[in-house]
Amino acid sequence: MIAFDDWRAGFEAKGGVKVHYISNKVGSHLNPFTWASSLSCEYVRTLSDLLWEQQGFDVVHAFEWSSALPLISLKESAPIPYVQSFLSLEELRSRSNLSLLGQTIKWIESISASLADSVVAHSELTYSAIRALYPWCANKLYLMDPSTRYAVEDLISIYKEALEKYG
Amino acid sequence: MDKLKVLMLSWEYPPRVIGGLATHVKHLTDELRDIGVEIVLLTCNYPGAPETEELGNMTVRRIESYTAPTPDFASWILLMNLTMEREAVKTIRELGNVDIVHAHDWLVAKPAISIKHLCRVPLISTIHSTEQGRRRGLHSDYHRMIHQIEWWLTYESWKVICCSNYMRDEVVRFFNTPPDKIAVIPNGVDVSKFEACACSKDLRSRYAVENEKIILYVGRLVPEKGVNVLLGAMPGVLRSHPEAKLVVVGEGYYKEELMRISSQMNISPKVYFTGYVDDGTLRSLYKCASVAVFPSLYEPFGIVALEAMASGVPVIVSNTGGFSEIVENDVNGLKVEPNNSDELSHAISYLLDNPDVAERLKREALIKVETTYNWRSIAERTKDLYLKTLEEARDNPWMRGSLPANISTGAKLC
Repeated sequence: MIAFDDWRAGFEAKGGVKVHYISNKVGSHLNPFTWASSLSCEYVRTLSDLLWEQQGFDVVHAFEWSSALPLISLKESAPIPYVQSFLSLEELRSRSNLSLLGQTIKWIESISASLADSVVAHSELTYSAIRALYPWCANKLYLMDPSTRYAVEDLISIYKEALEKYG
Repeated sequence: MDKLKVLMLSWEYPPRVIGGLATHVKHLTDELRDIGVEIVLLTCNYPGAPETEELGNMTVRRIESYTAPTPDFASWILLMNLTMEREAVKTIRELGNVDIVHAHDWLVAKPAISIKHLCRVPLISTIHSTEQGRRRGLHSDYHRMIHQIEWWLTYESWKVICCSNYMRDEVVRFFNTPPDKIAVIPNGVDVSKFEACACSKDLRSRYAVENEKIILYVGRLVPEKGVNVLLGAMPGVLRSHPEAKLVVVGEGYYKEELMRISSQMNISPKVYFTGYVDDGTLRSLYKCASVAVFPSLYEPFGIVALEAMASGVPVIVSNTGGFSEIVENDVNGLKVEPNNSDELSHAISYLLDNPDVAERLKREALIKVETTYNWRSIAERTKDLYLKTLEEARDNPWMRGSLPANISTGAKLC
């Protein structure tokens, strides 16, 4: 797990989960996009370090547009199955009244959905919005409600399916 | 080792010319490839320019940089960086790994840092100027963000190139960069291009009448260039030399204010704002000038002074930044205190009154640019820095990582 935490950068192993906390090297920002953009370099650095230090992984799973940014270049660089989760979409959050920043975020959502091997919607509303906005990803789109009993099994089968694409 | 291969990142490269960076990168890469360095240059696209260009030892890739709307310039830069990062990875996989990543300014910091980590290659950055220097302080989140990105780039770089000792001191002071990490390599000028030009009567008549002596300023019209100080010097110059004419070449957001100042001072008929002029016209215009004046308040390097010196025009510069290092007072030009119109006024009058002094300064200036500021020697120094960096990096444990089997057997990270 690579997670953002400005106050706790470093490594921690919690109940079998290895967490690498990263902090943003750039402290002042104009908007959430500039924040996510500079943070993405730290994701890339940590991901690369894990790979170069032989701590490989089978699937990489990003949540929301902000964590998708590092995957956009990593996807070009390493043949690792990429699963992209959306809890919501900018189109829904802004009620289709997109500002320039909203349009930037929507563009990133669209790119990450197109690059991902599997796209996971965390609610029916998001699932329908993805189908409507990005019909081309219908055959790799999954609905997974994290509150249901079988959510983890569902997710593992999504991972397995993404892995199968890579033989 | 085989041929040295460098991935260079710059947001501008001809025909896309925004400031002096495009010219710098063009000259540097031209000379580097001539001395056997293989260059892969990633830059932004430009209408009519090819997406890929092969120039001997060099491949230029222009990335699509206007794909999505963005709320402001800095956000546009960071979105462009995302595309550049992706294209850099693609290009490296297609053309083979590189030995060094060389980034020019904060505008390409993000892809440069990512590629450094993805490919585990040393990063070298050139800091052409700093946000804190340009703005004379950090007055908003916008300035602070750029400042922090600049710090981040220097922090991640193996070596930092600055174009003058002044810039080196600024980088040390603003970013706490260890001085031994910084190499000072100046900018250059192609003297032959300036020597070949001449002042035609037709061109001259566009800017001044026959008996007028042209005092030339070239540069962006922004407060830090001190053009208002030059305007303040003009009444004094005109009192002793009514035949003087100030020609201001360049554009910038401060232009209207400068025009208002010259009107308020009643010197408008003696000041000509040309706006943007093309390179050929500018080179000829230098030849028409009696004196070139650069009254900057902040100047990391000051390539315009080199251009004037290469054209054979006596120069007067403010004693600041890179100008202080290029010009030796009363040897190859005159230096005046920054922000001092009276002193500037006297210096201009002195050169107009003493053509023999102007002639001596011109001669010495030409020798200086030919020996110190030629692009071949700048490229050689840059290549030496690449080789020295690789030598240092070879023994570094960070460079010796290896990839897991599922990555390295299928494809590599880079």
